[in-house]
Amino acid sequence: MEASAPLAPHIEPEPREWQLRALWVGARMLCGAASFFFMAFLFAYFYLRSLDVNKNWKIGHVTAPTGWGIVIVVVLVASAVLLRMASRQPTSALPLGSAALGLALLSIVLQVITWTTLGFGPASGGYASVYVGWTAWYAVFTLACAYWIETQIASVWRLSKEGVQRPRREGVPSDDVELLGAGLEACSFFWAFYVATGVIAFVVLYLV
Amino acid sequence: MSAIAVTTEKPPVWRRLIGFNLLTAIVLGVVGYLIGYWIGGRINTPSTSFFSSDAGENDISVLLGYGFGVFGFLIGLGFANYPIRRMLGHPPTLAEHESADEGIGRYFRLCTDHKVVAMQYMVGIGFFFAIGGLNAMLIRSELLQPNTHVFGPNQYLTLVGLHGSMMMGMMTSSILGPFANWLVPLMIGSRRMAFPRIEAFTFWVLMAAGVVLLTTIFLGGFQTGWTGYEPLGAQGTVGYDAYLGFFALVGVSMTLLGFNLLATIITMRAPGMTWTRLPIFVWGVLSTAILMLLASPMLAAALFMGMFDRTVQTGFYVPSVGGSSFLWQNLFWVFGHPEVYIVALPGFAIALELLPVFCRKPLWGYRIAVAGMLGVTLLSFFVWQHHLFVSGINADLRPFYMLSTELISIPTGFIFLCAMGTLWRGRIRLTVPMLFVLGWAFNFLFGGISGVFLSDAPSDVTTHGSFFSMAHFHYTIMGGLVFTFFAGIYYWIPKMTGYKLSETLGKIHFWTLFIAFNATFGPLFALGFMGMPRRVVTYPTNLQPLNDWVSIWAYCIGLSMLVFLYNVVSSLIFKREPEVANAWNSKSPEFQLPTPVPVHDFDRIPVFDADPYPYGVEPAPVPAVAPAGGAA
Repeated sequence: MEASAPLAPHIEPEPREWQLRALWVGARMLCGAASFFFMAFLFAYFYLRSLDVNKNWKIGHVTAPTGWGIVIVVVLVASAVLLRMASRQPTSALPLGSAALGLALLSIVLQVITWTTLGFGPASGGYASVYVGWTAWYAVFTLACAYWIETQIASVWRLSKEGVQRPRREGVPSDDVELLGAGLEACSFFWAFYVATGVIAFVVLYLV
Repeated sequence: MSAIAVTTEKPPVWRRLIGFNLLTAIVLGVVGYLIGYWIGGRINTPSTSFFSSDAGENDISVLLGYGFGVFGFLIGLGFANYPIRRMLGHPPTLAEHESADEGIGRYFRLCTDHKVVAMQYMVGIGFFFAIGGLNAMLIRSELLQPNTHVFGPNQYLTLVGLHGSMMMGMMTSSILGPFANWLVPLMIGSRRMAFPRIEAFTFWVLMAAGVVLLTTIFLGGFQTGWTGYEPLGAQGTVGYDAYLGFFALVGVSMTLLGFNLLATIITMRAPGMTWTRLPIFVWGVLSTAILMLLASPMLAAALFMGMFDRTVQTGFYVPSVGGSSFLWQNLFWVFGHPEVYIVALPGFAIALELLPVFCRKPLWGYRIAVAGMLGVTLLSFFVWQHHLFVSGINADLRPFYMLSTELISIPTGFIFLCAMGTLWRGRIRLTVPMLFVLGWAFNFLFGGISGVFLSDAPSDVTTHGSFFSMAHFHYTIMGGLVFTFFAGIYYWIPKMTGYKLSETLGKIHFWTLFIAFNATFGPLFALGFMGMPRRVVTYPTNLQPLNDWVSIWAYCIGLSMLVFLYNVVSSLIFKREPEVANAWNSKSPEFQLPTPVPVHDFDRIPVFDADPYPYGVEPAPVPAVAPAGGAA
């Protein structure tokens, strides 16, 4: 980890593992924050469904297109698996990570297509509101995750371009590579968790 | 990592003004707002004006304006530069504009030095605290007479909403923002926060939120109070959009502030700083940060639902299309009650941190206090429905929420007990910070006891929505948070700035505030019992004498704040009398450092080898300086 300005000679640098641990812990805590964010939508779903105010849970024929939902979930799961593999196989991180990024972006495109083919609008009852709100914010967060994945892939690309490799002699990775590994692990963990929440969303919104 | 930068020649003033700084941020913020507003105008059609089409108002324009405005503001400060560099694969860095050579300019731009961010928080929050306080003065001016005489009902309600939102939104970070950002790294032996840019981001987003809230004045205001209740919100003008945007930004700021503090405390403790050696202030910060991390996202989600209702015509809170205003009440209070503890816990932490210093004895029941803080944190997620006792919730749910609410008084009692145990037989020094801590103990006792009446469904039915409940939460929040906030200011500001504050003026400030506070809020209990409801601009004439008494004393609170302001300005700007490194003879790590604290905090990572409160144990152990090895 480099500071933007050099430390004076008499100042001891901080332990290297602090930043690595911060990434590891940070990713887990983000999972907690994301869970509570989407828990609000889960709560809204069951709350409005159980209240069924004025019998308006579903106004008219309101059914989410399950086929599109399945495709989106499959794409998301594939992306998460590929990124997790990338974090564990440094030599293949670039192609695997790029594919994961592509699939993450594809899932957003598919979601947009799904919105255009819905047979109902946001005001078609409580279910429609939850569906639109939940999927929209899921897509927004997916875009943020895609940015995070892209930064990891770009770092891998730049390091490979500059020829930085793991030093074999000591068996200890260099700072940059170690940090990149920690970043990729954190990113892939969060992405996998986030996709898991997407699977829950699919079950609730399409199957229940 | 904090760093000592290589000295470079300063660019000319004009060059510094056109860089990434607050000035550029304001310009881009305004431009962004106009662009967003214009785009919103293109999107909006009568068919998408769900609530306000009759008034010709455009929620999409206003909300897009806020979004683009905040985006432009952050770009102007330089927050987009690093993310773009990362997209291009540049290696991560941690520091930006930390060098002391950059002078006062660091305070007006993105700076990652935790001490600079803390001071930014102190000034920024102080500004909005003053506005919130002035709102309170205006509210009390209106209540000088039983009928409307200064403002109309709508303006009065907007003032009430502005006051509440400002205090509950901005002041939420009043201790964690300035004090935790400044102190936590020093107390745990780190040089920085885990994610320094996020630390700076939380501050600037909070400032943007404050400005967004103030714009409601130009948009018709909002008549919902700080709770933003539906269906009042749905009936509101575009001024309610300002409320939604404000609290959403506050939610983002709080979530990331909690996230950053938690990551720092968990991962960046110096060798020897075990969990049982963690200063109690850090435990308080940790408990609060957990609440912020988990509760704030719920608030953000609830607000985004409200925004969707007003823009894309979902119906989360609209009964005619399958929604329910009770959904808002539930989601708001799932956040809202932990929010009360987000405000209260840092106050407890400051009180417990300062008591050993001024009693010259170890903190009594350190582990009990920690258990109390964690207990409050956990239980605060299970009490929210006591706010809905009179909102038609299933009667079978009442006993559970009554019990859980009363249960939370046990861990709170632990904390109070530890404070009293520390006072017991201590060699008490009645310094200004200590006076404020004692004031906290007195006020919070009344706040806590009156809370029991509100947690019981039978008594809550008669006191809910009355001035009794208002008196209760002012005793807990103002009596708890604000008094400890000032205790922290008088205790740490000399260390943070390097200059003394006047002790005499500090004592005048305390006594005037303490007397005026109790004279203002004590009678509100009586007014509540006499049937005066909150958020109603008129009241029966027989309540006027008591209301006038309260208003006059409320102005006295304002006067006491002027004493404080005078103290700060005269001591820190004009007199500038240097403070010694350890004026309170404290054994806390931050006071073992020179004043002012160097940019890089420590030359070497410290090793901690003693409990945090070794008062009465001589010679006093201080953090040793030794090579780093890793946190224990």
